[in-house]
Amino acid sequence: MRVTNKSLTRNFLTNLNRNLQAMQKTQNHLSSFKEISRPSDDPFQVSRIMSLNSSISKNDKYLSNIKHSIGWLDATDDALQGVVGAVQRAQELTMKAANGTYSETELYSIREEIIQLTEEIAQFGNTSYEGRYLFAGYDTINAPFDVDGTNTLVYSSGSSDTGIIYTEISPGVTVGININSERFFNPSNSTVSISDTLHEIYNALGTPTPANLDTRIEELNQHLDGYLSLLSEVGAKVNRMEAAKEKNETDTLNLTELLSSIEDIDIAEKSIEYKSMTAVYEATLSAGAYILQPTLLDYL
Amino acid sequence: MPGIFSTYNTALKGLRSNSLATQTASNNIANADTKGYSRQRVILSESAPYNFANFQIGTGVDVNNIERIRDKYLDSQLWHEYANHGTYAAAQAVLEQSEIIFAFDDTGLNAAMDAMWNAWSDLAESPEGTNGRTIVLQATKTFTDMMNQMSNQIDTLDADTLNLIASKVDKVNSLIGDIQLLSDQIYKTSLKGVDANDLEDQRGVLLDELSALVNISVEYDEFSRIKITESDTGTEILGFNTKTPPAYKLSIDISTGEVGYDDGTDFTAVDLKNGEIAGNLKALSQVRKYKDSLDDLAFTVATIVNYVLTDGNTTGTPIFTISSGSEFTAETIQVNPLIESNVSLIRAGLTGTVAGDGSRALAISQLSETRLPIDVSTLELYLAGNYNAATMKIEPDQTGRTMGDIYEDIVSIVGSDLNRVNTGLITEEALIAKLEAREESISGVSIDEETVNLIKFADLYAANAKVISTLTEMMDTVLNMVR
Repeated sequence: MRVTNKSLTRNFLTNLNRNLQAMQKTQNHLSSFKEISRPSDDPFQVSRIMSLNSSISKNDKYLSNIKHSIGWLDATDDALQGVVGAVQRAQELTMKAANGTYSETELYSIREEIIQLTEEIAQFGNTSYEGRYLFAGYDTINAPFDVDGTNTLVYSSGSSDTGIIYTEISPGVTVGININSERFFNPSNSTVSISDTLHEIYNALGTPTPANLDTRIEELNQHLDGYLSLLSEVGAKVNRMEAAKEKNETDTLNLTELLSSIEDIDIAEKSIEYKSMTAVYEATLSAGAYILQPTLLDYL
Repeated sequence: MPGIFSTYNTALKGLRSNSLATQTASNNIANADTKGYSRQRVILSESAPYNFANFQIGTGVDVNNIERIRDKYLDSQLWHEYANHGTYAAAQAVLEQSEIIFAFDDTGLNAAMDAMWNAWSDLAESPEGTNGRTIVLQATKTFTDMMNQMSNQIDTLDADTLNLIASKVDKVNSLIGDIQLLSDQIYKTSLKGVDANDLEDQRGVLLDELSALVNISVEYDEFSRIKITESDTGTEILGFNTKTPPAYKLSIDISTGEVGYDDGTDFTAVDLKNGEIAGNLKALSQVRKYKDSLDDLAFTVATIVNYVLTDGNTTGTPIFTISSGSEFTAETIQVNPLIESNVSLIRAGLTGTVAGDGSRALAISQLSETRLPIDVSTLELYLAGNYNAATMKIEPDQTGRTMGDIYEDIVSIVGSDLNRVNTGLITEEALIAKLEAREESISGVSIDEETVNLIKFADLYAANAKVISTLTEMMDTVLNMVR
């Protein structure tokens, strides 16, 4: 094969260009810190990167949902603890009154306290979190409970709201996080609500010899059980949320790690690669100086 | 018996041929780097001898021809590969631009879609008031704006590519005209029995250019005229006759993007497979497919979100509307102007009257995980049969794909289309480099070789001159004899 000057230069330029192209690619990697910067770099991995990014973004949203729910549930828990306290106090008072050794004045003061407790329970029922009423069902912008002129706990809108607020904590998994006004009003789901019981006690204490207080105590016991089971339900949900939060954070970590292993460069490896490319490039250049110069003319 | 004068003549022929060879060598050196130049060589032969008594006497050297060293078989191989290279290179130029449109990082449509679903989830969390609704509106607007913009960019790319193809079609026709003109000159020269080396080189350069645009095969006749056939469809685009214009002229129908032949009265579309024009056309059809897929995505998102939002278009206000025309496409999708001016029209709950009910917003945010039929034309029918108005949920199609998948599919198709072209281009470049190296080894100028030749011819020239001076001495001797 004849070798001409042009084929020498062309060969040299092709090789030089190839080196430069490889260098440019590595430079690109080094400056962007990304292994893949265009879909054509690796179409398959690009689609994985996209779904990983999407999963991470959704996971972040789930995490914020979970955190919000935990706050909501904690506030619910506090309110229910308060209600339990109030119901216990009502029970104590009713028991005292049932002993039958109290004067009318004393019974009157017990009756006053029952009114206070009724109002306290209404207040707990109107607890709000981030401007939303916890026990209002869907009607979160209106206080759900009120105490009417006869000192009875009532729905302020006149009826219960059975709405359940769901939140998504992981793909496809939704959890209802609220105790709606119906369940708050009648936690043991019996024929008499807390309002009925308290009202009956209030009425009975208005008479010199309060009647049927034993039945009321029994009812209060039922309501207490109801509130305690609501509390344990809320507690269980908090635990579930905490577990979901932990899983979510682990998932995000794993996903991020996986994403990084696909799209991020190994900086040490790339730097060394780049160094050796630079060396090769320089060697090519200086070799070019030897290859391209001589012709026969130099020796004539 | 040869006389001194006839020997003068022999020496003169030697001087002339060597000076011609020197001229040719210097022409080679001068054109060492000229595009398309083929090295030339002086072909010498012995002059016709004359008979004297019973032997023949040589009369020196004749210049037969100045030959252009060229391998025509290699030419046609190269033209074929130039066409293949052109296919990939032209496709690459277009697809690289489409790749930029379909971003996959946090500036891409995927991120906008994720943000949109998250906004619905935000609304589900705080469905009271306008705050959550404004977030949904903004995220949805970002999504539709991006859709519109992408559609716009693809349209621009489409139009630019068509213009590019049209200019290449013009280039083909003007190249054919130039080649015909050169062929005519070559024909006239060769009628005189002379090889038109430099004109053939020039024509070779034009043929190189033409072969990158369309796949050609070339035939030669005895007068070095050529017939060019476009190989993909076997159409003769230039005949041997250098006076009659070609019967078929390449042309393009801009409205349909079809390329074909015009025989003066009719246009017939053809399917070109190789060359830059074919590459551009192929890339164009791919880009149009991407746009179709993007339209499918716009249609799916709009249809499905509207469906859940309005319980199958029975009640409430849809969030997506069509800006013009009759169908949701990437170009026509927009946020309902009614909602834009009054965000409280966005229904977050089952009924839309209760403040704290975000169940519908939650159902919409969960649409991102719902698998839907791949064939979007069946989507509406599918929704009618699989939507539960009480739970606001759509029964997933287990064989289908999510909306995120649709975009991922588009991007990976864009990527792998370009990836394939890139790989093809690298292979072609290597192949062409090899063929060009072979061509160079045959037709290229070697300075060393020419230098050696120069020295050789200079020596020979000196030797012939020496013959003349010897003859002069002989002449002197003869003349002195007379004195």
